[in-house]
Amino acid sequence: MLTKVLVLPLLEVYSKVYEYLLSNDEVMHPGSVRSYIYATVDTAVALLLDISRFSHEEYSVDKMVDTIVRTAVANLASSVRVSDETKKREIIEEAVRRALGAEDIVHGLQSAIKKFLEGEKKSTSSQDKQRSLDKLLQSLISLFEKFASELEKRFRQQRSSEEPSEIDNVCSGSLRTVAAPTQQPQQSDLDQCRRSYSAITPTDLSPEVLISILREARNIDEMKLYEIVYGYGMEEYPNIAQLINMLCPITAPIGVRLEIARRIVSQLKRIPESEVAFLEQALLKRSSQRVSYEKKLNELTKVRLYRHLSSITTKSAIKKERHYMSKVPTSAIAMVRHYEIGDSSWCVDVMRTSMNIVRKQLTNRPITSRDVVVYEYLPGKQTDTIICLDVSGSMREFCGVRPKIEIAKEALARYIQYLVKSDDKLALILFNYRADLLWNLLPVKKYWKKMVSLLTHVWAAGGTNMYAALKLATNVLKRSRSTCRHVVCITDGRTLFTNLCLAQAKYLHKRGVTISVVAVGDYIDEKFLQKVSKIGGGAYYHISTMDVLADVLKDIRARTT
Amino acid sequence: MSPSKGHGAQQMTQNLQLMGVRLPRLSELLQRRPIRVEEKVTKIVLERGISNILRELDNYLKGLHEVAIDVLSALCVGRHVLLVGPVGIGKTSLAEAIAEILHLDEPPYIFCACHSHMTATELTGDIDIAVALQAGLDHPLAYIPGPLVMAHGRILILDEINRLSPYSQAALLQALQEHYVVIRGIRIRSDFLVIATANPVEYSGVFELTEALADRMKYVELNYPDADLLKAIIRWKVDQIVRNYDVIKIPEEFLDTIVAMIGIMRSEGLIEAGPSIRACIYAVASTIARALVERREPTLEDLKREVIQNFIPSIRGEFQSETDKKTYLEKVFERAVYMVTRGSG
Repeated sequence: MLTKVLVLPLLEVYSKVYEYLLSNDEVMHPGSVRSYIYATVDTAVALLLDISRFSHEEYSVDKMVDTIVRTAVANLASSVRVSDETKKREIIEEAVRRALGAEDIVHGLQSAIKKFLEGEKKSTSSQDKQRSLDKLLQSLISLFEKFASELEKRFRQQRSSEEPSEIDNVCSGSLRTVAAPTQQPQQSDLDQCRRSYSAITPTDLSPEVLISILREARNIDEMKLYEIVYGYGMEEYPNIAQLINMLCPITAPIGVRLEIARRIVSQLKRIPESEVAFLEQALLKRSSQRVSYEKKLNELTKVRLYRHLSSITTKSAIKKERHYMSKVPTSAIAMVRHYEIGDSSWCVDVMRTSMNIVRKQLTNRPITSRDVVVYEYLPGKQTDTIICLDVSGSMREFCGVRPKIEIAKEALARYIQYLVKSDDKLALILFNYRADLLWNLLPVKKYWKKMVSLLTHVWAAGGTNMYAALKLATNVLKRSRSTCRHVVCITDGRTLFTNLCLAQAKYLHKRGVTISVVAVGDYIDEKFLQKVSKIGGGAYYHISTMDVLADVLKDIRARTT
Repeated sequence: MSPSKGHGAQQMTQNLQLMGVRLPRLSELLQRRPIRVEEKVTKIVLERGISNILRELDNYLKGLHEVAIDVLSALCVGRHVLLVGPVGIGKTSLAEAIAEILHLDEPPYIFCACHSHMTATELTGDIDIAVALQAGLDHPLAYIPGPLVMAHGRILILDEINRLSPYSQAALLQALQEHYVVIRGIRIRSDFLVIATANPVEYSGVFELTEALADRMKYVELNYPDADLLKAIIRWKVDQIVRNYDVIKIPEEFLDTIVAMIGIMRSEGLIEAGPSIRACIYAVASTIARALVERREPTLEDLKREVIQNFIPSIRGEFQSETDKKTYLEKVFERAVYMVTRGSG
């Protein structure tokens, strides 16, 4: 009697679940009848137990849905057969959630409750003994009504949001209101895309929304502070690339991204100081303790370079190599040939030409145009470089008088300017706990100004997860056609998931990508980072200050041609 | 009175006799009436109130409320339950605790530890032909009942059910669904609810459950508790163990270190099976005990030693040798200590 009120609507739910499982391609067998019968009754009892356990206010619709999903999965898991066993739970869970969200269910629940109420009015009056049970029933019924109305509300919301048809599915929850359409725009769609971006006025991006994102992203306590400061751990904190990618697709032109970044930063500035102050203070305290220590370190070593782990070169060696670093980057010489009309005077091989002329003069023969020798350069060999910049919390530590992140940004800007003469393409990945593209592979020659100004908006916070960065780099490089592909990781801390990192590096190297690692500071997992660069077939640099970063980057570039 | 524990029919019968339970005669067994066990359970749950039951459960185990509700709701509708989870997480204790709290009969549950060499007759019991010929079929020793028959009106705990070979698993099918046990053509009524426990398939020495058997059970998964809960559990259990030794206080940094260690191990993903809760508890407890025996204060150095000794058998992963494992544990321990001291200072 008691469970009847629950069983009827739940039967509706489970028949929907069955339908969904039948229509899913991955499901081989949607489950036995026995398991469905038991699942229905079991869920009813589980809900009943839940209701008697919590008070009316404590018990929310979310909890109810959770209970239903949990019992459904537990009961159905043994008899549902799926092609991929590991995905079984997810598939069932999704089916149940979809069943709970369907339109018919809301009506089904309501009609079931109505039917039950009518039947119950006659019978309850005769039974005075079960007063406690009646109470239970009453709370149950009101709860179901609440549940049904809530579901209906949610359903309506979904409906209304579906109407504009191009609604964003990537953005979730609170960001939905500021979401711009993220249909992957083709080249022709870009204009339309740009128009819709310009529709975002600063009022759309209210500071409240951003505060709530930030607040959710970090629940600071002592232990986590450690992780923020040392850049190790699971701390999630949105970086600028992540926020930009929430608001526009990766394929959006860099100018649009720059505009969005400006707006985000201007909004962030409007957030009250108290929100950010706590973190800042804690970080300052930590880093001030460290400054004195780092000064000592700086005197000891400046740069250590391990090239494929074989030879260790010192500061003087770096100086020597700077000599060729200063040349135009794409200076690989393919062949030497005789002068032909139209060749630039810059290309003349002075040594060989003068040798020829001297020989001719000594043997008293006339000098011809054939004696002038010119270089033939490789036809603009282009490199695709992806820089993975660590923007974890530890990058906010001071190195000398400025935070590491500022120095890194400046060094990158210098590096970009250095690449202007080449035909290179460059992408920048920012990673803390998550990794996101700040900009996709773009020719530096054309976009360097925008790149540099976009770079100025980068901030640092959160944990470190290099694996995410490498994985994203893999995805980006999949589309690259260039023969010379390179990934440079700039990190200053330890990372999570070291094993996965190594596996990813191996995978990348198999695809012909080289990986170099620049480790900054003292608190690093040296063995691991060396291993990554060795697997990736690149160079490993350990620098104790950020000041030399730009030189190191140029060095890496020079080696890759 | 503690319930019977043992393997198979014979030992259980002996245990029951020792406890003063009279062995049933075959004629009585044949006249058995069906008992609606699920209704009994429902009545008990509704009468005592779920929150009371959960509070009572806290005396045995902590942090398993959700799982307990999963189990109870299934029992209420007459569904058998299968608890799945890694070693040392409290599956068997949970099953025993729930059966003890429900207390359907005296003894409240029949415990059967399954193993790979268990035969179907060990589960059902068998007729002893020699006794039957001499003293007739109705002699108490002519038929020695197995756990499936004895569990009538009670809860049957099948520990490590996936260690049963497929042949023995087949013997369970009929008993679970039709509530009849058939011995040499004699049909005996037996109503019971099963709480079975199992390790995930990747553990060594286990069979997969046959589909028909799995279909008759509800899968309830137990997972590792989170850091705070783990700390509370360890403190509570260690406190229970060392209470007799007049220990004033369990050092807080021990608990923190162990919990931090587990956190590090889990986040790194280097090892396949992490240390069990049982190992954690005994690592702390034996550190304290050792220091007590030597009449001094327990130190972190002691803890390190005990941690290595206790964790080595329970973790599994890509290690070349035992020493490799040991050095890994040492490294993790050092890092955990560093983290704990940093976090507090």
